[in-house]
Amino acid sequence: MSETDAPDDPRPDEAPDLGAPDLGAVRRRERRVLTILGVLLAVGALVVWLTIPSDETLLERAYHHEDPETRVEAAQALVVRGYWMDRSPEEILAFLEGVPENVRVFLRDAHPALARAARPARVRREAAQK
Amino acid sequence: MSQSFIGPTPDRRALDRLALRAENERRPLGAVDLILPLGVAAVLRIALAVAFMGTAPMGDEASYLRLGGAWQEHGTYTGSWAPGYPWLIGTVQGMAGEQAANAMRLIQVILAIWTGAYLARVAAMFGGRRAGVVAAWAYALYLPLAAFSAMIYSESLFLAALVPASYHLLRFAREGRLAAPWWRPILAGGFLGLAALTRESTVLFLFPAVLWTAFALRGHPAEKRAGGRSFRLWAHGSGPLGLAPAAIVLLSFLCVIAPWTARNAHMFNRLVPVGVTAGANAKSGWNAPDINFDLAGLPVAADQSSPLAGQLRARLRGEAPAPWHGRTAANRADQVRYNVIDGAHFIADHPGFFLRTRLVEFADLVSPLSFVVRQLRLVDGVGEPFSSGASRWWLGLLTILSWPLLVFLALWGWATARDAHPLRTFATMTVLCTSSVIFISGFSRLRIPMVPLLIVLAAIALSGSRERPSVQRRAVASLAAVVVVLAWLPSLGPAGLSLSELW
Repeated sequence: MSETDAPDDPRPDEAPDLGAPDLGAVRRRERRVLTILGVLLAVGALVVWLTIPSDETLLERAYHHEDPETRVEAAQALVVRGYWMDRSPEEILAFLEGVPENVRVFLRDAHPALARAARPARVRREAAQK
Repeated sequence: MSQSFIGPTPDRRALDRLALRAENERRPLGAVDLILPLGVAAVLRIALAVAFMGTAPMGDEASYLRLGGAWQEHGTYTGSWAPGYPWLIGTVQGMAGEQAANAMRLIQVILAIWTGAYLARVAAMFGGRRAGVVAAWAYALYLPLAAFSAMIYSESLFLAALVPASYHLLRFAREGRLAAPWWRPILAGGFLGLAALTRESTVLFLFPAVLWTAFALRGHPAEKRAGGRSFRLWAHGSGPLGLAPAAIVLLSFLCVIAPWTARNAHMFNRLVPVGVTAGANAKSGWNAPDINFDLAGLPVAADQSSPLAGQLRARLRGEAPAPWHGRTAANRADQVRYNVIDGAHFIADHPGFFLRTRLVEFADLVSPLSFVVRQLRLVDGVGEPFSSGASRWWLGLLTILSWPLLVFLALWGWATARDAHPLRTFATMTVLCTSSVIFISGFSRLRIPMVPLLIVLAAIALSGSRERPSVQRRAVASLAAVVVVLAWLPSLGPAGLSLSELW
């Protein structure tokens, strides 16, 4: 009886004798794939961690970045970070009026609460102008 | 020995022949075998898609379309869900304009065919060609799934990634560590990553799937049959856990979601792997209000004392304590943490209520109701599709009956499927992971991840690839059947109410 013809083998006659496998080769192959993926993830995570923009950078981008989509991304990031939560209505109004048109349209459509938060400042200004 | 891209492996084709050939297989499943069932699947889904075209978006449909539209228009994502589906809608809107919803329905038909082909291959891997064909037919005609092609919900896209991921994991377990190509675990993890980018709850499934991979690759029957003494010692029973291949699956998953996680880090200044839905889920699921999305739009549903709306369901829940409203955080990512902590305090303060409501969530999860029944109820305007009471009632009834039928056939298949050990453990794990959502919320849409594997198990049983089950397996299947049947009792009222509304 060959080594492949174990009594509990359900299909002994179909088993090819492949000899001793090179287990080390399989382990080496898996290690290489793991190393490549691990290095990719580690380097990526480090780069991301080092490049996270501060609130001030985002504010600057929302006002002045040349790419319109980057401006909108920055404005969105400020909203989800809660940057405007503790700001005065005057500050919010100044931002809404100072950003480029595409950011203003975006904030009006996606975050109407921001315009509502700025309303008291607008009302006060209009009253002062009268 | 053949050469892989990095090193030598044993003759893969010889191992594949042993590993991938089901017991009753005379010739493998071919594309020709699937033309008819998947053709019927396409026709049925196109018919449903056309019927739902032009209907007003309902529930989450409107939110998905709005998010996709805003992404396309402004170039940024503003939602809290996983981004995959809104991104697809936004891309399609860029091409199809106002017809984006209808174009999405047709794209979902194509995705459904892709999913069906993979599902048939899973069934064929364990039950042979006949099981593959039966699975394709069952998938084609299973209405609760077919209807998702016609609705603007993420399920079609999600299954188009999850089912291939399941296929590659199962095939990996079937081939074994030595015979599988080097890219198999990468593809499995990659598809899982894509599924997570479509539905965040895939993360619940990730670690069990990785652990399953490590165990499934230990002791492999094909390797046992094929190798010499050292081969057998390494590969069968006493062999090591497949930790390295499992880690490859995990890292591949992380590589796929990494770009979105990086975007989230820049956006929130926090680690947010996929989305920020957990906070809203904790607020609705770990709280006092009762939300069953399958009953949305039913005026009587709010009245829990009505026998039709489900008196038993109301009795199970019992007296509800005062709900919590939670703290407000500035950063949306912090809001998730606050809600989870507040929800956990609510559970600690009312453990009895929490456990009773989990019974109700389980009943809602396995209810014969489904999202298409809800959608048919909501589409009732004169001149809209399915405005005829008879067509809606019959479609609703067939949909309601198909779920119990699938559950019983799948349990039969789970108990009796021959030569299907990895499939059985994988299906068990998937069902347990899917059912674990009841600890947050439960309704028929959330059971979708387990449906493809239930279809595969049912198809294997129907195709005759069966063996005499062990006593333990019979006991587990019987117990599961009893639990599910008992869980249907609270749903009988809502199901009857839904059908009477459809007429």
